[in-house]
Amino acid sequence: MSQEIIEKKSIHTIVPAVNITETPQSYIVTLDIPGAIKENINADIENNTLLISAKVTEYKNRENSESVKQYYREFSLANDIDVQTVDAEYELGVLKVTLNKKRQYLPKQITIK
Amino acid sequence: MSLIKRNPTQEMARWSNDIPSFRGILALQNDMNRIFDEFFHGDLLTNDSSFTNSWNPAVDIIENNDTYILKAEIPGMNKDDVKITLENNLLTIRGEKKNEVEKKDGNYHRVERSCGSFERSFTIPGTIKANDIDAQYKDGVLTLTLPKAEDAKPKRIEVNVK
Repeated sequence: MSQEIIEKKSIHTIVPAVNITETPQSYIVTLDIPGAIKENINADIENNTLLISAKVTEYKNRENSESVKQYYREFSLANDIDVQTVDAEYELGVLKVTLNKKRQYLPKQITIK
Repeated sequence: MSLIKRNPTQEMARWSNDIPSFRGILALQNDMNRIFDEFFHGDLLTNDSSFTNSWNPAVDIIENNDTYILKAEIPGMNKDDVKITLENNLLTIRGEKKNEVEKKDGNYHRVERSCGSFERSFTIPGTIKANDIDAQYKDGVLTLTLPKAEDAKPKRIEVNVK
């Protein structure tokens, strides 16, 4: 805390707005994280929890100090998600995480003999 | 927060009621931030925006020696859906974000991200070069650079001490 003051950095933590939609095969989580660079966004899965964090460094103001916006949000995942095949992409300030369902939870069509 | 399957019709009913939802709290937070912004920066650029629209993107306005820089957070927009106009010193940013949720017609569990049309207007000091305004849209942030006219730049007068 005191370190941050000495470094003249103001850090805000923001909870990004999220949409979660479900398709037969997957859950799609989209988060508004405007102004980030792809390299400064982290998506991790720990103990069935999806952790999203991002750092957005803003303009340098008159005192030549930079302002950092910190985005953070976590989601606990249900058992039907295959954590091995999680996919994430960042475009136009929106992070899209695709969480595929495990094979046994996919809709099955039973063919009639 | 968990990805537990919900009944979508129940969810719908919840958003449409007046019960404060998380989305409402986010909107309230945005409004509060804006009110504070206007209070502290009201002398710089006056905000003429009305609150009748479905959402108001967050805006930062920075003043440098040579320019005003306006940054608006409008993630997930198509560049062509943003219109910027300058009329009688009134700078207006308007646009529309299509509702991507309805389009997919899937089950949705949470809808917090803003969509629909927005419009924000700002009265700018009459001391900018209107023809040299630059607009860029990158990573969901619209950046407008408004160069100051020569007579608005800070002047330094050298005084020789004898």
